[in-house]
Amino acid sequence: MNAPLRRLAIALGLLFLALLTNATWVQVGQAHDLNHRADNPRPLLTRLTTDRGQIQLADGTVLATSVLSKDGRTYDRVYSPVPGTHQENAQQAAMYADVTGWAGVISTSGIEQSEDDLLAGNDDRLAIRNFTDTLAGKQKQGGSVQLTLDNAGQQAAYTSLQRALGSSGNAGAVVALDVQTGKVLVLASVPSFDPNPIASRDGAAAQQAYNTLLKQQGNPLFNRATQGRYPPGSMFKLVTSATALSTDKYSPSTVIDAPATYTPPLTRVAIPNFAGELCGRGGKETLLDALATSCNTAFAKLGVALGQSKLQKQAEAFGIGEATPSFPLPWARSTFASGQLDPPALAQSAIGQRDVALTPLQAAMIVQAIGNDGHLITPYLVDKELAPDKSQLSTGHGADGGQVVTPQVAAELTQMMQAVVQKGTAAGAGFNPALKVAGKTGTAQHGTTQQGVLLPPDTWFAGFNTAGSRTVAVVAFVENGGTQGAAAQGATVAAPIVRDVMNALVTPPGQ
Amino acid sequence: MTTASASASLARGRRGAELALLLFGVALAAAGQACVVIARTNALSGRIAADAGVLLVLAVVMHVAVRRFAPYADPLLLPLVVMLSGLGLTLIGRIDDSLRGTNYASLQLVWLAIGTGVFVIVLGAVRDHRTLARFGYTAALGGLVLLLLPAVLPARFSEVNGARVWIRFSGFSLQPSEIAKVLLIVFFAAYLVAKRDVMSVVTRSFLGLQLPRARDLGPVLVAWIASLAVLSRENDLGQSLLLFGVFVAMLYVATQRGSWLVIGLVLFAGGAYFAYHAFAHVRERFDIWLHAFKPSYVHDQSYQLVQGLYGFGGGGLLGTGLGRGHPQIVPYARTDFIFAALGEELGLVGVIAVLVCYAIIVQRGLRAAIGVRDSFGKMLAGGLAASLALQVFVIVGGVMRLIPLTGLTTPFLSYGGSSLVANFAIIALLLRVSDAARRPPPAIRADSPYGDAPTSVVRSAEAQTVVVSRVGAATEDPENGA
Repeated sequence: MNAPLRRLAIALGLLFLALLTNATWVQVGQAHDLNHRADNPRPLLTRLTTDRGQIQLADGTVLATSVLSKDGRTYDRVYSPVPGTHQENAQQAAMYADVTGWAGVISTSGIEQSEDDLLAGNDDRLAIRNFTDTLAGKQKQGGSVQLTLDNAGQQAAYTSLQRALGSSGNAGAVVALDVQTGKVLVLASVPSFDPNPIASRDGAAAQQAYNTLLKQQGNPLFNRATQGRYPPGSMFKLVTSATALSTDKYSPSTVIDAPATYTPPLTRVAIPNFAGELCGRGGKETLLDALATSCNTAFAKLGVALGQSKLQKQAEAFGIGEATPSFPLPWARSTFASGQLDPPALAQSAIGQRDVALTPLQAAMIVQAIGNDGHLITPYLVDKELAPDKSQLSTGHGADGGQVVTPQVAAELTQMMQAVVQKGTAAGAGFNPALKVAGKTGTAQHGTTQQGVLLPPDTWFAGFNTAGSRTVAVVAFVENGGTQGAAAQGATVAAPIVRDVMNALVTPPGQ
Repeated sequence: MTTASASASLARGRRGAELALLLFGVALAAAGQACVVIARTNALSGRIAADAGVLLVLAVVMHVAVRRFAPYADPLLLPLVVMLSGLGLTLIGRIDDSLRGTNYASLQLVWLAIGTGVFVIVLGAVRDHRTLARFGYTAALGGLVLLLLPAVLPARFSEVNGARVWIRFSGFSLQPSEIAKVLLIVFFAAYLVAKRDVMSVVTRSFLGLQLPRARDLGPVLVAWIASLAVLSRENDLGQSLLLFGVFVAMLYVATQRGSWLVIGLVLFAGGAYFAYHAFAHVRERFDIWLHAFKPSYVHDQSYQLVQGLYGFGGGGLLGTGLGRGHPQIVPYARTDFIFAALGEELGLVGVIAVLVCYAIIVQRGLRAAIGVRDSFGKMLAGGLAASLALQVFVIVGGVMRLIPLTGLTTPFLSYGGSSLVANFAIIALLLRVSDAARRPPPAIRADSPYGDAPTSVVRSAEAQTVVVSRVGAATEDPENGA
């Protein structure tokens, strides 16, 4: 009977081999997918027992930290802890909530989600450290993330935004970039929320806090700076001007048509100027003056003359209509046009209406490129990634976005934008003359109510300073005119916010 | 002369090696226990030493029994079993700790002591495994009674989670099918040895197979129908699968006819098809296996399987470390899904190590079967080894989604008194056969007149008998007629 016994042994051996192969497949081949499935409670539970890394700013402000709880084994996640205590500063937490996101037992979002591997200590770069720590009996620790944000700027943005919005129930956003490096210095979205309740270890309480915020009026969980797409209105004239200046036919002193109203070909509907004003004298003015006074008719006619192809190409060079670059937060794509535009549509698109929709972050990229001699740098939010022992694992940097306009054109645009602030629509906004700010206002119509009454306009201001300790590009967006209703303009609502943020970020020369 | 004494010196007892391996196994279990305690409480506790001490005492008792009753047995079997039992204790205790307020580890220790007792009794009472062959039909009767007892008891004494495989009384739960399995294997071995010549007779060829006689199919069909009956009355998919598989394997070994394997497979396939269509819970098991991650199943029917898989994934290559995972999330983590707890905390490395341990136990059992000289011993050891292998394959395969899940226990690891006791009995029997296999043949006495004389076969012309005579001494020895 030995022969069949031997064959039986081989057969049983094959069964074991099948088990071993299957085990390898499940625990190695499938492990990554299994661990990242949404309904897997283990990573969330593991989060409770991990000393998760910090999210902090360069000046030492701590935005998120893990605090050992009373049972000595689990950790609580606290956002914006008051230094020296384990209490949270709810106001500061709300200022940064859209960026930090939260990490709790029910879900993660924001930086907590995009940098989860590092913060939880699972990053490949920490593998050797983790191994030696295990041998030495030390608790596993997560790495830390240092963001590029500037505390003073973020605070100024928030205070200013909240003043502009008052109790109107409207929303707004502010983005500030360092012109030369692409660092995101301010990323604010109002209304915001306190992430601490959602990060509670009590799953039921956390879920309830999340559900309440989901249903809250004003939609505080929505990050307007990166996800909101709004018509830029006159602010888009920067792109139209850039297109014109890039051809050989225009310069800031070129005189162009600026009629009282402009009726594009193939239509009988006239495009008026703001409040029916006249631009220039005798229906003509220079390109520089047209931008300074934000003349609709001039740019509408200019847009039709330039044609869709040139305008679209220039817009795409700035990033509008292209897929958004890699960014740690979800970032919606901006649009210039959907499909072929007929002359009326083109005229309206040239002045930032019709289908044109920008995210505030995209708008900031436009002014960053102009301020950087036409060289676009994609924005980045993570300044440094640190190991638990504070050694640097990586530094962030913006990617090269290409030469969007020549330095010559950039200089001409800067000259025109300075005119906007010195004698144009933004003259009364109170910018510090020492900073020599260059900018553009935007007041965008965005539809009517059901009764046919015009909705209060969306207001924008985008600008950068040309003098001072550093060059920053700032964009402020306020929905529905904030508290000013139908009379709101970019100059009166959004520009003061940019002014306050610039004052917080930049030291004037000589000080 | 030289061959006899040479073989005597070759057949060493190897009990020293066994003792050393036992100590290593207990130390390993203690180290695992220490890992859990440190991970959970950040401090050592006297409990580690106490548990290790009890395990050591039981191991030494079993070792002494082996020295006394089966001194030539394989030295690997007992240490492996003790180590797996210790590991099981550690895992059960670890799950206890997470579930606050349950203390199944102590109960398992009690059952381990009972298992030790049974081990010693079996090893001591069965001095020659061939005596069991005489009790074949008794064993069959006992086995069937134990198997069907839960089916005839009212549901409140016998049903747990839809499977009527238990006998419950005054706080205790027994799974008689585990013990029935051992008795039935003894019966199969005895029956097949007696009838194997008969069952090897072939009548005709069919598709290249030598088919046996129709009347010899009878016992196989009886076994098949009995399995299905067990399945239908008791909803015990795993046990019926196991019994049928072991029987077919033993049938093949006894008759060496591949046709029995084919018939067995055909019957199995037919039975599976029938079961799939007739029994809803079988359909459900198949469905869960195929569509485990369907969104509507994940929180309902396939929750246990999916959570187990998440545990394996969470363990990855090296595991989360003993005490640092979340095995208690998986339902029935200490019984059916103890392997998921192992996979999560000790990782793929731990899984492979434990599977290799099981493979070695099976291999040693088969080694004993090949080495022993009598057919009944071969059948018995072969059948017991095959049953262990199949059981491990069915439960680990089910837990890791290689095959549909069934409710079998993981030998030595999972919590369960009846399973532990039955498996210790199996190991005792395997040691008994192994001892017989490795025991040196009785030495021929030095003063025997025959000594090492060569032998030859002489056929007598008148009688139809064969006489063996000693050629060298024949002419001188008056006792041997020429």
